Amino acid sequence: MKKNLKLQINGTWKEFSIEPGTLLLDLLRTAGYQGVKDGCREGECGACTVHIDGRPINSCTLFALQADGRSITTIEGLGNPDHPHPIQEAFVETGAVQCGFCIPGKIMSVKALLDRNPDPDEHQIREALSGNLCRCTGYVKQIEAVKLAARRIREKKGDHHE
Amino acid sequence: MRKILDYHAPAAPIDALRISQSSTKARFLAGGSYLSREKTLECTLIDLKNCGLAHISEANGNLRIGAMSTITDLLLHPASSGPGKAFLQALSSTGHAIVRNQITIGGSIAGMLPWFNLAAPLMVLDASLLVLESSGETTISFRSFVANKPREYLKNRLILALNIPLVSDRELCFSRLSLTEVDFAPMFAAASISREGETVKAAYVAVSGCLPGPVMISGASELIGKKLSRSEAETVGQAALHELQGKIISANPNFPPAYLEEVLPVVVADCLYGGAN
Ligand SMILES: Cc1cc2nc3c(=O)[nH]c(=O)nc-3n(C[C@H](O)[C@H](O)[C@H](O)COP(=O)(O)OP(=O)(O)OC[C@H]3O[C@@H](n4cnc5c(N)ncnc54)[C@H](O)[C@@H]3O)c2cc1C
Ligand code: FES
Ligand code: FES
Repeated sequence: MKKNLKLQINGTWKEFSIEPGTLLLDLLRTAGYQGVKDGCREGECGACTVHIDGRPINSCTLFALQADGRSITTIEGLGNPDHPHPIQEAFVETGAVQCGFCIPGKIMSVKALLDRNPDPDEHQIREALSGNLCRCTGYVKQIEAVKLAARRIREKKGDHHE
Repeated sequence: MRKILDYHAPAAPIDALRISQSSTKARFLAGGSYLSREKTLECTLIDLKNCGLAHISEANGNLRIGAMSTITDLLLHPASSGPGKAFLQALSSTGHAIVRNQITIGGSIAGMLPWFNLAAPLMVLDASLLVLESSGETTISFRSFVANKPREYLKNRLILALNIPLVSDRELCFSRLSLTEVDFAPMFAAASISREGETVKAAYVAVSGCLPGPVMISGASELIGKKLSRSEAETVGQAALHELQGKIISANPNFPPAYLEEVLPVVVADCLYGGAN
């Protein structure tokens, strides 16, 4: 028995007709949002992280119908190769990306962190990224990347603390 | 293979309860962090998201937490510090940063999984649950709920809210055993202590995680009338071991039951002494 739902994805309202057991991860990937990665499907790795009304959520542990009527942001809504978001730029510039699989989810968590705390310390960064595992990098460069992105975003907003 | 037969999102708890009573295969859906991972789930989902159960308030000396409030909602709410700093510590060591945005208090209490961080704190805080059943709303103490086998008790019942009495002279302590900050912990201890000067007036200790359900340690009453010292805390730790010996279980190969028995007195003593001094 199919169910209808409406989601605002990256600012655009879209309608879907789905089986009620469909997970948000599968709906998004089938609809073309391939930046939402399919990793553990257990809520452990964070590769599938999207924002729902501004908060990071594992799309693999959410029935799509739970998000009906809500606003979803995927990595595609943040930036693209021609117009990257400052967080994406900082990850590339610091060499924080190796295979890249964890990066979209990680960047979504960083975005939520910097939205509420523009100048996080290392402990706060590690805590915000506690749900995003990386098999390649050892995290050090990624923390550098978050600090660089935070500084750039603050400077852009005219806040020159450092 | 998961099979979701139907999905409802009623606008009131009473409608949710009615729908659940009309089908043997109905399950309430809260955050979904557990249900969405049940691979063989076959049921009708009753999503509680529109039932008005995501609220947190402080009134008449109680912290009232609606069943659909998430761990993050609680961490961000100023009233959550009411039961003590250790309550925030228990909340913030739940899972990881992303999953805390999804896990609800009602889903955690109903699931009562061994790694539920708040199980031991809720025992010693004398928390209670507001529950909806066919005849109306009723209140049950968290300790009775645990003793009643939660899954059995919740057949035909819906958790509406959690209630925590705010007692000003009570100190809450919490500790958990784990390898890393984000690991599932196999043992939790919580204590609540009231003192007059330095003398303990009331003391409650509970342990959870490595047992079929959270358990109160009766040996904690030995502290009453005494000054809380490290050696008194260790005595309660030994009492906990005595009461729980042979009952400890663990599915985690990093923490076999024999090891957990060994460290139990230390975890309890650290909780009592480290947390309250
Ligand atoms: C990666 C990961 C790590 C985790 N780590 C921890 C941790 O360290 N500590 C911890 O405490 N938890 C942790 N959890 C959460 C825990 O395992 C459960 O997933 C969670 O508590 C379930 O809450 P929920 O709101 O998502 O419930 P759901 O999955 O929606 O429901 C769980 C159960 O409760 C029932 N239910 C829900 N609401 C009600 C209600 N109001 N009345 C009656 N029944 C109801 C449902 O029918 C279902 O049976 C973790 C989860 C994940 C995915
Ligand atoms: S794929 Fe969702 S958390 Fe790993
Ligand atoms: S860069 Fe490969 S998993 Fe993180």
